[in-house]
Amino acid sequence: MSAAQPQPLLAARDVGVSYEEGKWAVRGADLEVAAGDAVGIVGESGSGKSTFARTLVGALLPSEGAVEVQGRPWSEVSRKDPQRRCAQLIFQDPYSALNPHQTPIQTVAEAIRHWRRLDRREAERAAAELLGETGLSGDLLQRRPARLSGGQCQRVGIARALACEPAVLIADEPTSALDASVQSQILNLLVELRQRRGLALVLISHDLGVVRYVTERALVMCDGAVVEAGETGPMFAAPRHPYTRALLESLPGV
Amino acid sequence: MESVVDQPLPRWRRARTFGHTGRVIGAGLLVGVVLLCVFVPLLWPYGPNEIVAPAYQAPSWSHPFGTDTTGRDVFVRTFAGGRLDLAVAAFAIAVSCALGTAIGTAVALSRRRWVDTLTMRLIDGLIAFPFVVLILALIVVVGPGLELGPLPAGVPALLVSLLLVGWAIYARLGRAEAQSLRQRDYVLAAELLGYSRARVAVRHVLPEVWRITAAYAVADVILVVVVMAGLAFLGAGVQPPTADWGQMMYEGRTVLATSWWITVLPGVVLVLTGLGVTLVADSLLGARERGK
Amino acid sequence: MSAPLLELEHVAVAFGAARPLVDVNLEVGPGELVAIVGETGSGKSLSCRVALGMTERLGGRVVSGRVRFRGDDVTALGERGWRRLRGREIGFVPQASIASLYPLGRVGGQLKAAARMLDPESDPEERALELLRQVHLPDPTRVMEAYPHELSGGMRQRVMIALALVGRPAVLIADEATTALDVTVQGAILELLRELRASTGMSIVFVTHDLGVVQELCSRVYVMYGGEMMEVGRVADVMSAPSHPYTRALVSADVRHAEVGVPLPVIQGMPPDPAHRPPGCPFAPRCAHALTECSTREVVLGAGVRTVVGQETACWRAREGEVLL
Repeated sequence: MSAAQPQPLLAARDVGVSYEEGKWAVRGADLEVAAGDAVGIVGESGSGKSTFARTLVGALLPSEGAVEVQGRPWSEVSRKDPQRRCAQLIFQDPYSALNPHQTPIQTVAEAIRHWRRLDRREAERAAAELLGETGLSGDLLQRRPARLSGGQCQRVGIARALACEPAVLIADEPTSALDASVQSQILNLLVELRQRRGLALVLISHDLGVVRYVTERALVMCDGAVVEAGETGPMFAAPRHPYTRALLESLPGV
Repeated sequence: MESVVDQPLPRWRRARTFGHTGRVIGAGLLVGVVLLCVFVPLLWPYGPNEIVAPAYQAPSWSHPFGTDTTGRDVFVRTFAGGRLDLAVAAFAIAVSCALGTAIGTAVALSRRRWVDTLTMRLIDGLIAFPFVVLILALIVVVGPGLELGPLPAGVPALLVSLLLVGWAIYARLGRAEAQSLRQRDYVLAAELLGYSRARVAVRHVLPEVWRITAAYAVADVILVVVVMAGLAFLGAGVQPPTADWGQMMYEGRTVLATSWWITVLPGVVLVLTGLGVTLVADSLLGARERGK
Repeated sequence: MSAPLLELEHVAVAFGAARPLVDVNLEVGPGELVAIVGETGSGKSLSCRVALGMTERLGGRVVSGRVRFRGDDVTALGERGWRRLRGREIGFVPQASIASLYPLGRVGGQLKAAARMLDPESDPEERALELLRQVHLPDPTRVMEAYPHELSGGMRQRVMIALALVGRPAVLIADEATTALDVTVQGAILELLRELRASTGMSIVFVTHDLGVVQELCSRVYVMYGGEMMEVGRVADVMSAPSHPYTRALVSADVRHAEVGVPLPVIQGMPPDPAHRPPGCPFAPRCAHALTECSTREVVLGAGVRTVVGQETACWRAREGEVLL
């Protein structure tokens, strides 16, 4: 996006999601994501952060308000529109995020071929390259997900998302199912991809440590509402809302 | 929920159950019966409808299963009948399963509510009705004596009614499985990548649904064979003189006390086939549960 | 320290050809709060199961080493003997999960059934209510009537703890007991465990993958990797001056202390496959400080390698005086 065109990649305005009459999973949430941004969404289970993430990526249409992707609401974006590829989701459970019948190469090559006219061999070569960029190579590329570790599956999921050349990655608890040493690898990868590809990142997490390390701005959500928003560093150093303060205080070992 | 996912069990911790031995024994039995069904009618010196000796002869070297009420060789009849029964059952089930799985998956992924509601009502209706009674009714409608091309009398009616009823259970099974798969992250990922609905259904949902319905189908083969045998007693199965397990047992029942072999020996082969099928199906279903 | 209550001495466990536990040492004194820290596949949960006498039920076998309880060798104790210990002497709290409680029974019924079995002297109703109060569940009479799905995750975990307390165990083993909970709820459960230990004097073995939680709760920590104990010491020492390269890597990979903009330190490679273990130290293939002897000579806790600060270490490089860079 050039400076002459200051349109954000994603713009959520007054988003509300209700599954049940009178009960709101998310209400009144606003967020703008511009190219290269790193935004965190913090909250505990039931805070609505995952639901909000799903509206951002267009997997769920809000019952109130709207999310615009490059100026167009998701409700008007069809599967074939170029906006569809703008935002992609990274999942929490790395195993359920992959088709158990497909090898990493097949998974990624399928996504590449869907958006680019390549023959099978070219697509597989491009897929191998992309998987290499996310840190997978060799015989791992030919294994079914059941024979990969959680961290390796997560890398495949990231490569698949990159295959359609998105502008925003929305990562919903991407490391909370992983061991600490694997978590650091995946976080490094996300930060690296953001720098190298100019990707914007929206990171949803309950872990304030992760959000502090990865993002520049953050929202704190509680019971479906955004209770505090601002720059990550200053906000965590001097939280204004009591809920943010409580979250920071209960962070173990800090 | 912030939880550490349940990793798939490491290989060394997977319970070692009867699964493996069971599968070997089951597959052995099944292969044995199928080979006999294929080769005995081809190589045996007598045909299944040939009168080769006096009636009611006990098993001997030249007639291992004895002879029946009209002096036909029970051994060759058992396996000729088995060939017909297994072929009819396998064909009916393969088609029902493929059809049902496709319908179930399509219904589960359909966006129009009424498609789902309508199909499910039809399926519920078919399943709620007793299977044998329904088959019986359909056979009467089609006509049990109907011959069609190479198919002997009774078989066309059987096939038609099995197909009309059989798909329903697979459609229901497939729909349930496809609906739960729809909630899986990778199906959502496929949708977010902009894949067409047909691609999502065929490439990402169907392979997993198919695994479930196919394992069930294997177990179903024996059920159909038993139903076919039962129909003979109601006069609605394969029509005489064509050899068929049910027909053979039916004919032998009056002389069970004196010439037991006419009824019991085809019955034993039927039981062994059932055992083989069940063991194989169990290990297939078990492998699926352990694989998760 | 007075005589330990629960001890694992050089325990090795085999499942067929696989050796998920190779050398596990654990010593839990009366009233102690001990942590076992490790990642997926390190063998920390399996070590708990060994201490509960469940190895054979899982299909494994203790091939060497000893398990002792109150000084008695219980390694070869049969299922009947273990049944007398489980619940009465050694309690167990699993990971918070909806599946940990029987879904079709009311909480009160489940507690009363446990009380009738493990504490036949008491009145089950009274005992159940007392336990619910002990774990600070608000409105115990209402909770008694509730089904597990009607409770929140934190409340269910309190019920799990109450169930583990029925037989007044001397040792409580908690396997990832706070992992699935929200941070604020996790804090409250940790507080409860601390308080229960103070009021009952029982020992707690807290198994977790989270170093932060260990710091909150425990006094001593065992660090586990590849089915072996890598390091044991006071929590403060292990955190501030980790002596084993694995612990060191684990502590420095913690994102909570990372400087923004600097890539997080990572551990290259994969943990050992229990079916094909390399000889020597299990961490040697991934270790930046490995010597040649590391991949040939087994080094285990209790081999006498002790650091200046005082923790025991299963690492040749951590011999007295040697400082790792």
